Amino acid sequence: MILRIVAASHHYRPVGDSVALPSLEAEVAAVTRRHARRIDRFVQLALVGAGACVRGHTLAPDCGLYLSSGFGPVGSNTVVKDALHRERRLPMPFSFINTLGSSACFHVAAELGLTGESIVVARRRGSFTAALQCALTDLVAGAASQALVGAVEECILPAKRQLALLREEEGTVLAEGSHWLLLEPAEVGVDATSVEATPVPEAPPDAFAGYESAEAARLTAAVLAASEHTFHLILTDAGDVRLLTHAPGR
Amino acid sequence: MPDVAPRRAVRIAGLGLASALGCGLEAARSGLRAPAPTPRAWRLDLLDEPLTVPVFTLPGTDSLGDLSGAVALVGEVVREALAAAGVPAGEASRLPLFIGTSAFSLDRDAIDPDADAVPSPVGVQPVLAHRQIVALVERTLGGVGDTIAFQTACTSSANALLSAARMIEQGRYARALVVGVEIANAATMAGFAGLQLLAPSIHPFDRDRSGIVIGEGIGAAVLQAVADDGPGLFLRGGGTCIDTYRVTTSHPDGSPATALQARVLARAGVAPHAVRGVKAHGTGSPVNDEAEAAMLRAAFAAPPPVCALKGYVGHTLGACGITELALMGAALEAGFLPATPGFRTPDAALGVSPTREAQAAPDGHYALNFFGFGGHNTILLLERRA
Repeated sequence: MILRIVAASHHYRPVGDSVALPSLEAEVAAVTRRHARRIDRFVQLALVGAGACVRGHTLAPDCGLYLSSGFGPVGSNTVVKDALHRERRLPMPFSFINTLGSSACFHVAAELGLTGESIVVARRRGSFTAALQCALTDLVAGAASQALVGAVEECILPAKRQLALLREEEGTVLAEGSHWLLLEPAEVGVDATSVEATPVPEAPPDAFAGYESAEAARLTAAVLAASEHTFHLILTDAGDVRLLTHAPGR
Repeated sequence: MPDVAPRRAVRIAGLGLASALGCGLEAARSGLRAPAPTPRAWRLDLLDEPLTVPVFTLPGTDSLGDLSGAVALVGEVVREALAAAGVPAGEASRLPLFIGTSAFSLDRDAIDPDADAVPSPVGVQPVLAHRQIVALVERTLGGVGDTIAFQTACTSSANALLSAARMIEQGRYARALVVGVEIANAATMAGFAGLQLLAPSIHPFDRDRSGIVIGEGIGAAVLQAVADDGPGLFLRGGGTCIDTYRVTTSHPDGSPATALQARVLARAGVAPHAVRGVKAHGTGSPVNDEAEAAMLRAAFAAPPPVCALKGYVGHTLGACGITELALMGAALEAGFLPATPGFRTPDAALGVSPTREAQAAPDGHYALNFFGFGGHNTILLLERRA
């Protein structure tokens, strides 16, 4: 099955000790209607990305929600660890709940009125592709007619702590991001021979090197960089994602 | 992947399990016919006000934070499932791996999968999260194929099973290995304590139910495409939905799960009256059981027998999808539906009375319910054919 990319969003911010993490409250407010309480930065990132992606689009009642992340909600995990090991007390209930990636799914679904299939998946340096595979599977199975697929990565500062948590070497790119696609089965008549394959990334190849969800960032950045094009994607039997385009006027 | 997927039957070809009932499916089968074990009181000393938490522990677990026993059991459980399915050694290292656990891999003190002896320094919080689980399976089998970890709280491994089954149905894979792991750790115990959800003992659907008891569990299943519908245990699909009533609580009227149940049965072509039994999520928490009871009343004009299994092994959280599938598999293969430990006094407000004793289980379809934080609901549909 070929999937049509209905909409995309791309939020990416390299972070480090010299660059403070800005508040996301205004960005969240700009794309949400309800005021979600007791949410963390991971949830905020999910809301910002998903909200921007679907703005102006009507979601199908059975739209599936597929969230991916390599490291998940590192902020809330750190808050819980600090409560236990530094402050020697029970963690706050919502800090504990927000250590689960499913909490972000809940808030995105509540904001967008989604009630269909929903999962959270992870795969080392391949989480977004894993989510795409699950979405495609559900579309083929008829369990969803539309899929909202996202990748969210959160960072905490100081960088030293993030690197230690992730067991990464110094020099690894630390960045936060939220990258989303709204997908539907391709129109009748569209197949792999009628569209032009475009390698991913179109952006400079090293633009997202070292970033945990680089595959998602490359894909969404490429789509948004050429918004006059119509994009489709396919997943090969080998599990690779291929981005396909219709140039304007074709 | 083909545009029109050929629908193939998905057989549960092999199961492996380690839980408070012991190691191996045979131990579980015996345990399901015996008085349920009692949870062990584990003391969490790292807090200023020490906390004692009852936990259904794995065999061989000596102390909280010592993961060496669990590390060894992951390999044993995987090998049990593969042997039961007759997977050749050469194929095992290439099997696609679907993992279900509630833990993201974030703790620098998480175990090193290459180390045989796992240190347990004071004050750390060891976890077995998805990256460690992948590494352990890889070490056991000498490799793994495509890997996806599912992290939807208490529906994690149920969703791993569901996605694996759908990919097999569609012809992407001929076989898949599904593994679920949940080991007690400080964050989980303290987190549930903070939510005031813990109880000293578990009493699903009981008038006096007061909360959950955490359990440790490791489960594995080999799912396999089959061309015919011969005897065996089959995964006939299922579904998920998201219930946005509360992040920790299902809608008390059970309506999202009721709609999900209707979709699952319709997709499988199974009428509600043809369902022979339900394995409830049955946590024993006041609100969860209320929502699930409402769903059972609404989904079935005449509810089939209902059992709840957490009284045997505790709530194994992200692993409960696979541990409770394995328990149901062990029971159904032997032709019985288990009793529900802890159920003593019906709650008239619920209108659901689960099994008090094991009873004969005929061939047919069985629904398995799983609910999780974040509003994730999953229902799996099993078919047993003698």
